[in-house]
Amino acid sequence: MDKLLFTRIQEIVNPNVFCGKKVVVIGVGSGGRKWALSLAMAGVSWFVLIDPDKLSIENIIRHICGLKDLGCYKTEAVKKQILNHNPHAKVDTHNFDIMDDEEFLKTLIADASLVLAGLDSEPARHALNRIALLAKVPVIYATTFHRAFCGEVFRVIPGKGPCYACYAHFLERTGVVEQTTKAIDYNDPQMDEKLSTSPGLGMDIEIISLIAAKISLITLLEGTKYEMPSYPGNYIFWGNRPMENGLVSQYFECRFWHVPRNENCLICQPEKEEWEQSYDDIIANLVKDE
Amino acid sequence: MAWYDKDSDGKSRLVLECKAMKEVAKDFVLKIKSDGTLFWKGSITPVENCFILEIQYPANFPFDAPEVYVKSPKLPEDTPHLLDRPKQKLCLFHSGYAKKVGIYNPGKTTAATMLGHAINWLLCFEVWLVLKTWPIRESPTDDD
Repeated sequence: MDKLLFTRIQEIVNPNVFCGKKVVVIGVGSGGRKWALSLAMAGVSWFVLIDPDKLSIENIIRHICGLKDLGCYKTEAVKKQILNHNPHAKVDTHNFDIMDDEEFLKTLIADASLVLAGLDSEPARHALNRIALLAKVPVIYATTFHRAFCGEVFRVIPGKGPCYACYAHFLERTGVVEQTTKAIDYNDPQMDEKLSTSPGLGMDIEIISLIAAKISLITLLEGTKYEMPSYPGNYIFWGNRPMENGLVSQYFECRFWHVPRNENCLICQPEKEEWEQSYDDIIANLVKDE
Repeated sequence: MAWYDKDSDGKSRLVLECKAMKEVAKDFVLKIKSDGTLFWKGSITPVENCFILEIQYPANFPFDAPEVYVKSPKLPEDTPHLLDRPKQKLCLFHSGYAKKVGIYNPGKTTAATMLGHAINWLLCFEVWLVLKTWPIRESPTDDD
């Protein structure tokens, strides 16, 4: 049976090409789990899954893991799914928030071939960006927004092109700040949670995940005999359905952009020139708080 | 270990933060709390009232934005757009929304940038003192 497992794909991608290639998946929610599973089904056989959350009832409706996994860590539930399709895979699971243990994340990423960022927190994406740049490990970022009516996929290859902060700068995400009259309830302790949790259909999220999986595959196969043709630009915008605000005009709208590096980026191009005060001078002159 | 002492990136970022602050607010002084937290302290007079501000670096800077507090004067009880009323922490952008789409960008935002946002807040506050209306719109939510 084992010999037949990859018969239908090995003429396109022989799974042996992935030997020794470790893929770290950060966030295995409704998007990340499909992303990881698609790669496992393409023959990738070494995963590290990171997610602090357990499957709760509201996750089930758009997660490949169903009611039988309710209450399990998402990493463990997705591990079972991966092994169910690719029994040769090595899957390590870690249930922690990457913002809580940056040092441990560094050790997990250090020997990785690729990181998949299925994160929904902006500080976490920026933290990962810096750590992966230092480790010189490529990262694929995928996100849905506007209720998963649209989404984006892009990659950061250290030393080549923009980093995550450059993308964020180019996309001018601050441009929409002052365009609403909706009041915020400052007394609502759940405000942050409500504002950072987004509704969306599983099928809309999965399309973005599949695009991300394909970009991951292209990245992993670069330089091998199974190398796939490249794609235009470095940023993919996908629209699932027409939107009233005009952002997406038709179903299944795909746009490729080339996002340039930000020449003044403080993260990937930190200023190397000397300033009048060195770090040691600054520390020596710090004023103690009275 | 503090963010600025962790590695070469943290050290060079602190140098850059100091350079940026000295360019726009050279009277602000960099101070350190007993737990190692760094903050800038200084005064600003956007219109006629003088405010003493603290711009504090969070533990996981630069991934989270520096926080700005009005240390004096004591603001009126009904002052809007405060995230922490007793500490008088300014709401400079929508934190939940920022986490989702990234209002704050560590690749281009320094304490000096936050000071600029704080001055905008103070200008709004001065208008609010007179008109009791906040003159700019609220940040959008994900449903917008």
